[in-house]
Amino acid sequence: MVTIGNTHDDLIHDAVLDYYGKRLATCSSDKTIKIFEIDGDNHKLVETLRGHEGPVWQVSWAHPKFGSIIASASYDGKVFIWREENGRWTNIAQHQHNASVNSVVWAPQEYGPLLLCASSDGNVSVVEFKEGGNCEATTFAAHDVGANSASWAPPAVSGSLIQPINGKASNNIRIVTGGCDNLVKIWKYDPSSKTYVIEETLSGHKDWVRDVAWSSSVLSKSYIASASQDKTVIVWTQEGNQPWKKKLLQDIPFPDVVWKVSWSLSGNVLAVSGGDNKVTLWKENLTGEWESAGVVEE
Amino acid sequence: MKLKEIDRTATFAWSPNNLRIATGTVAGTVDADFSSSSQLEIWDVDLMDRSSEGFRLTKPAVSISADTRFHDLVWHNTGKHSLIVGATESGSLEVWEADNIKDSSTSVSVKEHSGPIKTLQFDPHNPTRLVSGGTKGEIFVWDLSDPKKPIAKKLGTDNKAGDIESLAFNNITRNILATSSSNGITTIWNVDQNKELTRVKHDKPVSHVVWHPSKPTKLITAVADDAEPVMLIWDLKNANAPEGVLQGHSKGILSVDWCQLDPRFLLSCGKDNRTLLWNPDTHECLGEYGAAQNWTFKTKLNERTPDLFATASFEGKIVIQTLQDVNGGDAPAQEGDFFQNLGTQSQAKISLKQAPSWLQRPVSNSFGFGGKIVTVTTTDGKSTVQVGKFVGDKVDTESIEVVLKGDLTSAFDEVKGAEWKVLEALSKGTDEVRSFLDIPVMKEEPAVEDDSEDVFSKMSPSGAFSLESSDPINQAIINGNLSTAVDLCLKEDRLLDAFALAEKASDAVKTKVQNAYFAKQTSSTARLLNAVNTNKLDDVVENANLKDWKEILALLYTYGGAQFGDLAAALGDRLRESDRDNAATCYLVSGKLDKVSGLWESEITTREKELTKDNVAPYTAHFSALKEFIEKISVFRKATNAVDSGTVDGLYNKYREFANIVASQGNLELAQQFLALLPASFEGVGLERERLNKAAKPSVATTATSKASAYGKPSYGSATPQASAYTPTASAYGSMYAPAVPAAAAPAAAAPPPTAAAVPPSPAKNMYAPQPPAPVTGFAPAAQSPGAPQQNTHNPYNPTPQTNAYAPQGNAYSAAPQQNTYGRSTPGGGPVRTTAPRHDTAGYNDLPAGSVPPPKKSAPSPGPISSAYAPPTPAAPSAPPAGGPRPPSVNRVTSPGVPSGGVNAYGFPIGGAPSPYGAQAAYGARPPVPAVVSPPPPNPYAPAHSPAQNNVQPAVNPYAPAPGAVVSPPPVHAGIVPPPAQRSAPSNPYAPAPGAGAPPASNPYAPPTGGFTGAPAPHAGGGYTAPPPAQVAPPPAGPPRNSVAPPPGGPARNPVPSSPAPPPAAAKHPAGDRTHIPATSRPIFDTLSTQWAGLKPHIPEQYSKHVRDAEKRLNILYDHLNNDDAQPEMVEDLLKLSNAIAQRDFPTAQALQLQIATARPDECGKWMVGLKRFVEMAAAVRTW
Repeated sequence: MVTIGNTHDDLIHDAVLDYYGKRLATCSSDKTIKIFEIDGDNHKLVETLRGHEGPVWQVSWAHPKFGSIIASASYDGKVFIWREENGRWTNIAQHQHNASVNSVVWAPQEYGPLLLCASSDGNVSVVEFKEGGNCEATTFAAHDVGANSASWAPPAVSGSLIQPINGKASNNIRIVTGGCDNLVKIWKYDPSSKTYVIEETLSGHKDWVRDVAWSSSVLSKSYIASASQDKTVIVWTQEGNQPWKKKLLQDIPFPDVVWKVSWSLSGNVLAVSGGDNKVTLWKENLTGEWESAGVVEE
Repeated sequence: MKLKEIDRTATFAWSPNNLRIATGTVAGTVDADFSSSSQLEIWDVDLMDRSSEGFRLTKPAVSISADTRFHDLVWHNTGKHSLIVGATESGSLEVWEADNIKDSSTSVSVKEHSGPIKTLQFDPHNPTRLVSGGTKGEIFVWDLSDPKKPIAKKLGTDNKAGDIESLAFNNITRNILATSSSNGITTIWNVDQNKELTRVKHDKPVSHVVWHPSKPTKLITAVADDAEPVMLIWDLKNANAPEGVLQGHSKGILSVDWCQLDPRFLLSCGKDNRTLLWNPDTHECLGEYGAAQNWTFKTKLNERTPDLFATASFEGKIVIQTLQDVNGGDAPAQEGDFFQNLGTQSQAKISLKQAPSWLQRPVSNSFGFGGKIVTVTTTDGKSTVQVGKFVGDKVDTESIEVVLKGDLTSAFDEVKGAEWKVLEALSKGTDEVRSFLDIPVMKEEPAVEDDSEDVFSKMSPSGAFSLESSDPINQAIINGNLSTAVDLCLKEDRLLDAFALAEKASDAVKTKVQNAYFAKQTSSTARLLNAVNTNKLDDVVENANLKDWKEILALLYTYGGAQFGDLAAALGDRLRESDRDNAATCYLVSGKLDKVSGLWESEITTREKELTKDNVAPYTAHFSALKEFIEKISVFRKATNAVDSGTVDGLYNKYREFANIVASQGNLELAQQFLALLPASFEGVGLERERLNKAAKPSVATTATSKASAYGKPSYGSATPQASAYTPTASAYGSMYAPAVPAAAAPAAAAPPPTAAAVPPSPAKNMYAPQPPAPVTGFAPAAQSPGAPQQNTHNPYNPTPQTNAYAPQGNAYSAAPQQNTYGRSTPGGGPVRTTAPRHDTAGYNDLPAGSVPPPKKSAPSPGPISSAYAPPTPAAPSAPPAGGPRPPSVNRVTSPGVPSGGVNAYGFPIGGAPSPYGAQAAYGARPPVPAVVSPPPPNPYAPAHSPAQNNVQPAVNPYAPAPGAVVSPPPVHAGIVPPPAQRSAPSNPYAPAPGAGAPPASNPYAPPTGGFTGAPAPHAGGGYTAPPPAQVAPPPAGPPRNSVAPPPGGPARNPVPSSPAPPPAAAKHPAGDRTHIPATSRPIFDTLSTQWAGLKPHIPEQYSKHVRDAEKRLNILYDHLNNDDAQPEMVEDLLKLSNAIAQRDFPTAQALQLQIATARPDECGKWMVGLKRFVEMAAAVRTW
């Protein structure tokens, strides 16, 4: 167990390990991002990235085949892309929204270097980084009073891996978003219009949707978890092309606002973080109920 | 950012249910056409449409004519109804049910007020209760349980209050209502008791009153008077005068709204046409929105989404915009957006100074490779990041691992189906397969061809005969024209002759004859013969009746030769459609991996569904099906030694998926084995292998050798240490400790490099763990010490395992002691660094939670100190496996029966000189007592690097909760180390001088001291008995005392009075300013601040208080630098000191720090303590 305190000068909002599990990026209301090297139970601060003008809400590591790269989303309305080369981090690109950017996440590597951002300006954007360093953003209105979170569907559908074409599997890209309209929305890339079109609107939460996460597991069903200000977590499942079904993770509300949900790498365990500082782990049992999947070992 | 505009001169109310807004023509104005009409309208605010066309709302969803105009409008859910209520100019209360409102709807209109109603508010604690305020001080409390029959009750009595301009229910306490009037008086009521509780008086008319969202006694009143356009912040605890003023409007304020979700936001608007955003806590104006061209008379946040608010102005517009604007209003207006630009006299300037609290996620989590989970939690405004592990479903992969090792027996233990029988037979060899398939094994029987040859040979005639050359055939033979002869024979259907002739002829001729033969024969035998003869077994495979598949297979066994595999696979292909099981058999015997895996892979999904139907959770089913597949494939490969053939990308993907899943469970080795099966060229596999290798690489802290010996199985590196059970077998210890000793000692003594090698890097990372920085000298003594007790103790040089083992994870402080525990056998010769980082007061005494187990658990031998060195005892129990953060053995040894009585909780000797042990006792008293372990090295300030050094001093190392065991010197050292008795003597260097009583004041860490305490020994800390320098040198062999060391006498003498520190001259520059630091001292600031930033994260949470304190003190130093009031010598020393820190030369840094403190005490201010602590922490952390 690695514990890092006294790191940032203000609240820390996100902490993410890289592909190798060897470096940790944290971001904070102190407007900085810090990179730590993690080795066993030890950690070492190796870099502090400055440049944002507001709190940094989220960070995301790109797949290493694209380089040693992280993206950061800030209250200042900007998304910064940072790259490390020979131990030096530089800001190599940025992308802008009209309000706080609340979430940022790189696509599964099969899709290529695509970045998904959700903003308080109600828009969601997908930024594509092209050869030569250009980037192109596809921005669309997603949630009227603000998008809080967005997540990619896994690249494989129902057991068949999409073969990447030219390094990108550009068809069948789907994403899920959640916002202050209490809705969860599913979008699909439309190659003809080159934008994302709404595929499904899922209502069930009674307050802001704080976070959404699409499980990477490729089972007979697709799984999406949504966490809300209403203190509930809903797991949405879809079998084939049937309608999405909703199921409360637990029938009684959580003790506090549920801020964050994430799936394990293999997609079967769901971690839930609530405002009460509790992290709980969940998995689906044979009757389709969600039950404890153990605890975080300390 | 402006989002929408509604062209109405109207008061408004947000819907509590969705993005709608109700507007009512405002009273007191006249349209251009002087009409007095009034409308109540409802608008859909479609924020998904952010086009310029959609900016201006033109069509209300509902529009109702009203009889009178509105002073105020509220929209509220009573539980049963969603009501829109209007306060009208005519004095009537108008009530609509919003849900069924249509253009033709009419209101319920009730008239109780004698004059116009000016203001309305619903009770947040009672959803059906509404209050209304109007002219002549009239206040009514309404019950809207039945919206068709509102019931009114008058509050208070008519008074000379003037018009009630605003009223507000308290957000926290029920029944409490504030009403403000045009005469400047704000009255606080208890509504149920119909009683006036108190008044807040101001001499100017109040336009608006709002309560604090969460503090029940705080409220703000807005002054409408142009002469004093302010908002007053009141706390009713003292209502005589406002406790704060928000000043910024240039004319009277008309409306205020306090954000319920984040009380640090408050909006106001007024007669200066402006809308301002405030932080009422700091009284700071956060920014201004684009002003209107006329009075802005109402501003209101959207309750559901306070990022949105609307402002109504007499300009004839209601503007809906966002609270915060990252573009600071600089965003280019949409082209052609006339309406957006119109009326924007000034650009909005909303700073990013404060992010709304509702965006500040205080917690987070994410998963990482290898079963890691990262969590962020926040308590009291402080966030902590933890990287932990999780264990979801434990995946049982043992069966597969066994197979990979080549042991297939257990795989066949249980009957799993026909395929497994084939596999089992395959694993035993071909004969086994044939017998399993009932295919006779004919090892000795001659092949058919042999037979046929015999036939021909027997056909040779004998006796005299005529050549009959007239026969064309004979002629041809005679002439050597065999081909012709054969042709002739065939023509005459003399097949036998043709065969005979062909014997001598070319292969082509032979073939011709055979073809002629088979062309005429239709028997299956001929067919077979043909196939065998022409080596065209595929004819059989492709065309023979499948019911005879087993015979075909037998044929292939007999004649297939090198082609057997392909042919068997082809046979399997034919069978697959109709006879899956036998097809599988064919594939299996074919040894073709692509066929086998292709078949099985295609069945995974079906299997998964079957399992799901069997009530297995979907993911479990998924994984089980995958695992079965992987296991079968693995058995198959082992049984047949099959190699990759054909296209097996599908298989590779399954390998990869399996590898990733088991890796997430921490089984990196298994994952590696499967990824190794993928060709390097396979998409993405390179990175995945690299990832696994990185993860599997033993953490630097653990060396392969130690691990191997300590653990039963090869370690997977840091990722799995916990998994491996540590068996404290004798051998384990033997390997860990025994061997280590010689090895360690030798290199250590020899040269730094070896030392480094021996010392696991990881310890270095332990905070405060005194890492053996390979000081040769330090080690030397250890090595030299005859009969060094090291064996008993942990070998300090022993690479990591010990270090890790004892190092409580994450706890830097505890790490040190452990090492000491085992390594402390240093004879006097060793440089002792007493320096364990010390801490000030009690804080450091507290052992880091979790790092140090309560003494009782581990404390096996509270006995005599000397026992501590008894090798077996301490070592065995305490040696946890590397990686397995086992509670430090430290406490194990309880304080050696030393009377703790003499020492107070902080370890201050109470009256009299406590013996070193006494000091220890003090520690012992508190569970986490760190026994001081570090022996006085020559340089007292030098951080205790080598565990080897013996610390005799008990209390010494504050950061190191030393186990009592540690304390006791090994017998060996006895000579070197003063006997206990000695130590206890007052003269004992470690013991504070008698009489000195180690006054707390002298404690360098004691905050009050401010100045640097002269006590060099870190332990001198009040908490710990300050070891007088003298102590430092106890070991006879002891290196010369550091010159810096203060004279013995220790604590008593030490304190450099902080008082002398000259009060800083009047600061030239404000505190916190760093822009005036002269170039000469700039590097001090740069280096110290950078190093501090790097160091901070390594300091355990429990010391954050000290961190903050040190930081504050360092800032004082920076302020001095900024004011350039430091003496040049001081600057010079500080430069050296900062460089020493940057170069990780802690002994030097500590020496310098001491030097500064002792040589120029009067120049040292409070900052010296901060600097000192910095150096100590740095020395303890060592690397960052």
